Amino acid sequence: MKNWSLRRRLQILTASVVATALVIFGIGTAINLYYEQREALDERLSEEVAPVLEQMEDAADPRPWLADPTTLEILELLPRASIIGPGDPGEVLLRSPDAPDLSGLNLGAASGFRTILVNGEKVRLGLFQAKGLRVVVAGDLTELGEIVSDLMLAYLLALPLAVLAAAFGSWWITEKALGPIAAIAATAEAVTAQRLDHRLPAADTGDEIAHLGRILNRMFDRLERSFHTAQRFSADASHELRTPLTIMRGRLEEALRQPGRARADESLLADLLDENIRLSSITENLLLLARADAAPLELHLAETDLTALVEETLEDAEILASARSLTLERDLPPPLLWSVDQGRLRQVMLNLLDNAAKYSEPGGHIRVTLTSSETACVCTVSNSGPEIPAGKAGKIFERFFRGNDARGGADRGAGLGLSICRELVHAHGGTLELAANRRGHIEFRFDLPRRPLQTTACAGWPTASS
Amino acid sequence: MRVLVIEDEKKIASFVRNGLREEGFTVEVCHRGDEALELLTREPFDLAVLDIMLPGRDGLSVLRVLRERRIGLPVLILSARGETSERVEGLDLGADDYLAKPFSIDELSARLRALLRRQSGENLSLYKVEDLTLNLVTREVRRGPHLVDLTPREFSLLETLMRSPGRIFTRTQLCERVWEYQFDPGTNLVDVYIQRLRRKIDDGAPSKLLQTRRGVGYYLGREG
Repeated sequence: MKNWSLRRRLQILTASVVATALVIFGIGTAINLYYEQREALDERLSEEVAPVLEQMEDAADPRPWLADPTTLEILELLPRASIIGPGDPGEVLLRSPDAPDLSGLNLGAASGFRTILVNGEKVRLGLFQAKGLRVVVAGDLTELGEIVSDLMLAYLLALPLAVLAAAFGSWWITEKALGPIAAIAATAEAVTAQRLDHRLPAADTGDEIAHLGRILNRMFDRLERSFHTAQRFSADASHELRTPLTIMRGRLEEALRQPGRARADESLLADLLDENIRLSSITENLLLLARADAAPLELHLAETDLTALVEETLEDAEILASARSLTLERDLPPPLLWSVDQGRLRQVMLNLLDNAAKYSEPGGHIRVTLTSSETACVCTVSNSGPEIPAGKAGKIFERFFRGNDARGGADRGAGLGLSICRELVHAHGGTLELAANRRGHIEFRFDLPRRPLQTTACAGWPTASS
Repeated sequence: MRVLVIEDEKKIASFVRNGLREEGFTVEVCHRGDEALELLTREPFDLAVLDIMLPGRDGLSVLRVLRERRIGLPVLILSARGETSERVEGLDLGADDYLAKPFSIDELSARLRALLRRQSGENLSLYKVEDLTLNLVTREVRRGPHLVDLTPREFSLLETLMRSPGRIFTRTQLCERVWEYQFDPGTNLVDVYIQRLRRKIDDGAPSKLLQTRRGVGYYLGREG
C-alpha cells in the first residue's frame, strides 16, 4: 500500500469503511427485525388466546368446560393450541388439529413465551395460566426466519453494489479534491531558479486549497528574494573581492620587477604573489559555485576532439604519476568529436587526475578510459588507492570537504575541487559520480550527453592561456 | 604608443600605468567614464584599457558611444565581475579583448601588444628571444636552425615565457597561465616541465636561455 497513490488509498479506504458500515448495519437491522417480528407474533398469540382464557376463567370448573362443544368450536379458531393439565410434564387435555405434540415436555408453570425445539422444528410457544390449567399456543417461526433471511439476501446483493458505488464515488470526489493539489504541484515544479517569478493562480474560494496556494506563493516570494540576494551577493562579492586582490597582485608584481632587490625580498614577494594567486583562485571557485547555485553555468561550447583533450591532460598525469612511481594506463578511442567547453573540461580532467595521483599508494596505477555511444560519452578516472571510508564517500562532493591526505601532510587544496568538477560536468548536462570505491579501485566516472553543436558568441575568444 | 587607462580604482590605475610605462607605452590615466569619453573624442589614442564599473558613465556605455561616433581604436575591457554575459556584451559592443581582474600586468601588456599588431597588420604570430623563435600559427619552435619538438603543454609554457622575456614567473603564476588550474604547490609539475623544456631548447646550445631564480621562479633570457 506504500506505493499507492493517495487517491487509490482513499478509494480503498472509503470502500472498506462503506462495506464495514453496511455489514454492521445489515446485521443490526436483521437482529432488530427478528425481535420485533417475534414480539408481534407473541402479541398476536396473546390476543388470539385471550377469549379462551376468559371463558376458562368464567367457567366454574374448567374440566367439563373442555368437553363442551362450544369450547371445541372456539378452539377450532385456535388451530395450534393445546391445554395441558398441572404437573410436569402435564397431561395434554386438549389439542387443536395443527398443534405440535407437546406430550412429555417439561414446559414449567410460568406464563410467558419461549422458543423450543419440537420434532426438530423451532416453535414459538405462548404459555398462559387459567384455573390451574395451562393453555399453550404455538406460533410459526418459519415465516419470521424467511423474512429475516430475505432481508439478509437483499443486503448481500446490495452490498457489492454499494461498495462499488462508494469506490467510484470516492475516486470522483478525490479527483475533485486532489485536482487543485496536482495543479499546485505542477506549478511548484515549474518554479525554478530561472523562472522564479511563476506563481500559483490565486483562488478566492477560501478553502484549504486556496490557503495552501497562498502559503506556497508567500514561500516562493521569499525564495525569489533570497535567490536575488544571493545573485546580487555573487556580483557584489566578485567586485569587492577582486578589486583588492588585483591591487595586491599589481603591487607585488611591480615590486618583484624592481631590479637590485635582495634575494630574500624577492623570495618573500614571490611567496606573497603565489598566495595572492591561490586566494584569487579560491575566490574564483567560490564565485563560480555561487553562480552555479543561482543559474546554470554558461559554457563556451565548441566541437572538440575529446581524445586529444584527454591525451593532453595525460601528459600532466604522467608527471604526477611518475613522481609517485605510479603507472598510467589508458584506453582511449580514435578521435572523438564532441561539443564541450574545452577549458572547463580540461579543468575537470586535471582535477580528477590530480586527485587520483594524490590518493594512490606508491607503486599503484592510474587508469583513464573514454568511451562513447549514440547518446553520450563516458570518461572514467580510476586509481589503486585505499578506499574512501564510508562516512566520507558521501561527502567528497561537498564544498570545503577535505579527505585525509594520503601523503600524511596537510592538504593545501581548499576542498572545492570535486564540487567544482561536479558543477562543470552538470553544466554540460552530465553527472560526475564516485562509481567504485573499494580497496585498490577508486573510480570517478562522468558522462557528457551528446548535444547539438552550439556556437556561442564567445567561441574563439581569447582566454587567459591564449 | 599612447594608451588611455580608464580605471576608477586609483591604486589599480597606478600600477597599470607604471607597468605599461616600463613596457614602453605612453600612458594616461582617467578615473571617470564621462571624462574618458571626452578625452577619447578629443585626443588621439592608440589603445584604451577600459574598466566596466566607473563613475560618471559605465564602461560599456562609453564603449557604445565610442563606436557610435566611429572611433575605432582597440579597446580592452577590464572587469571585476567576470560574468560570461558581460564578456559577450562587451564583445558585441565592439570591444577587442577582455581581461578579468585580478590580472597580471605582463598579461595585460602582452594582450595590448597583440592588439596593436593586429591593428597594424604586423605579423603577430612570431615570438623571438635571441635565437629562439616560436611561431603561433605553424606551432614551430626553433633554436637557431634546429627545429624543437614540443608537446602542447611545453609549447604553451614556452609561449607564456616568451611573451614577456626577462620577466620572472613564479610556479603558481605559470600554473595559472598554462594550466588554468591550481595544483597543490607540493606538485612539482611546473618544475618537471621546465626541466624538460630546458633539455629541449638549451641542451647543446651555446647559451642557456631558460633561467631559474632560486626561491622565486623562472624566466626566459640571458642570465643576469
